[in-house]
Amino acid sequence: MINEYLYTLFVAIVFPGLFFMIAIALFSEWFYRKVVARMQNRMGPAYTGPMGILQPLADILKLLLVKEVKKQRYSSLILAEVGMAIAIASIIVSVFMLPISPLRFSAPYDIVVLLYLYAVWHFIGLAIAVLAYPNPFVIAGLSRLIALTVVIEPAIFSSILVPAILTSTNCLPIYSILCISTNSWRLWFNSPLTFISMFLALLSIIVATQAKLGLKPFDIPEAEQELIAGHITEYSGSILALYNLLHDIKLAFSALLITYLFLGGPYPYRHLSITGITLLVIKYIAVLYILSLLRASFGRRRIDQGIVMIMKYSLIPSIAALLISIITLII
Amino acid sequence: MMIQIWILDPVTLSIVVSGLMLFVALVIAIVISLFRGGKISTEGSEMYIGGENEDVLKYRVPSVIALYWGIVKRAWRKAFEYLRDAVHTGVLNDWYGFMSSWLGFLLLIALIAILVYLIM
Repeated sequence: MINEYLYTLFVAIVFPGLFFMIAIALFSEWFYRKVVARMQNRMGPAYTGPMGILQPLADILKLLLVKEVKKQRYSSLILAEVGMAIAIASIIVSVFMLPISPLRFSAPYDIVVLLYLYAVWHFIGLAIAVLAYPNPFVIAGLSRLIALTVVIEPAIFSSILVPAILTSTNCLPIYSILCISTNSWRLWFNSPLTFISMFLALLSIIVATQAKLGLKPFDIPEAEQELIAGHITEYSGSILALYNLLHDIKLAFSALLITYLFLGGPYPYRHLSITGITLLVIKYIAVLYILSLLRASFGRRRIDQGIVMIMKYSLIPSIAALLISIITLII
Repeated sequence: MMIQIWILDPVTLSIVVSGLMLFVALVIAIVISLFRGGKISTEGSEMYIGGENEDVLKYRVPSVIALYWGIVKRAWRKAFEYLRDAVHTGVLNDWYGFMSSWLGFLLLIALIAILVYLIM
């Protein structure tokens, strides 16, 4: 019994919990900055660690240990930290449902539980943290964030439903992340219809993820020329470090989610095999590369243009994919 | 590494992951408060409003709800205008017809769902 508790503690704190997610998040930020820099004819991080790989860690540590955190007259630092901690924890706990975790939590219809953490708790934590530093720019940024979220979350949910529906006939527990992850790679080769619906769902979730992460062309809530820094205008020191860490962890988790649910993770190979790990890393890097490429290729859209863009390239394709997958199931 | 799979029911899973989330959040909050130490700036506690004085906030500004609806109306202008024109014609019967047709449609879907549930 004690061993089980210790094992759960190890999973929550070390692998794939807090430490692993922070490590993979910092690597993802470094990779993303390098790719964007390359496209913009710059060097990107170069001096801290080999090829600048430790630069994101150095940035976080500097904000955390050296920089002062500004306490505004109307702010609550504790509330902001609690909100950030909830937002980060909700993403970290979501990883326990992916097959990368040695302790895998699963249940029938657990995609709803995943979205409960990834969409609901994450947003609640972020909203608490943002509103802990009240400011007109913050309110305007949060308002834009809410407007975007209203379109992004349905698109993410319907895209995830596509592999869930397609794998629901021959796998248990039904509609579970575990089932989708282990079988999604087969869907690309099953029939032309499953291929089309998976392709549309993948396209849709990539666009929705780009928007959820606030990367260009959807960095509308932070729009620096209009709103200073939008919902993070008043952040500094440790609270800004936490926000940056949250952003990186979200980037890493989103890439992992796409890798497992749409590209099949290491499958058909096992996790603990050279081929499996290589396949997993290649897929993960490919997803990160596409997200970085999109970030570096576009300029920021206006809020209404951004919402229309998400609807056109994410929500509608995901609904189309959903309909095709239902038709495939009936046929 | 020992691989364990816990197949739970959805409600238990929600409770377990929520508990783990609170635990991880607590660890993060404790670590951050330890690292932050006493480095809290006491200078410049005023709100940052682009260098303006806080007095500018006494003027009327759009509420959060108004900003949200403004965005929705701009992005979904066509759907919004269609709905507005359909419902707000000024004739009570039009509004009554619109609402009853939608509620009737929902009722029909509910009946079909019940029938499908009973048959399957």
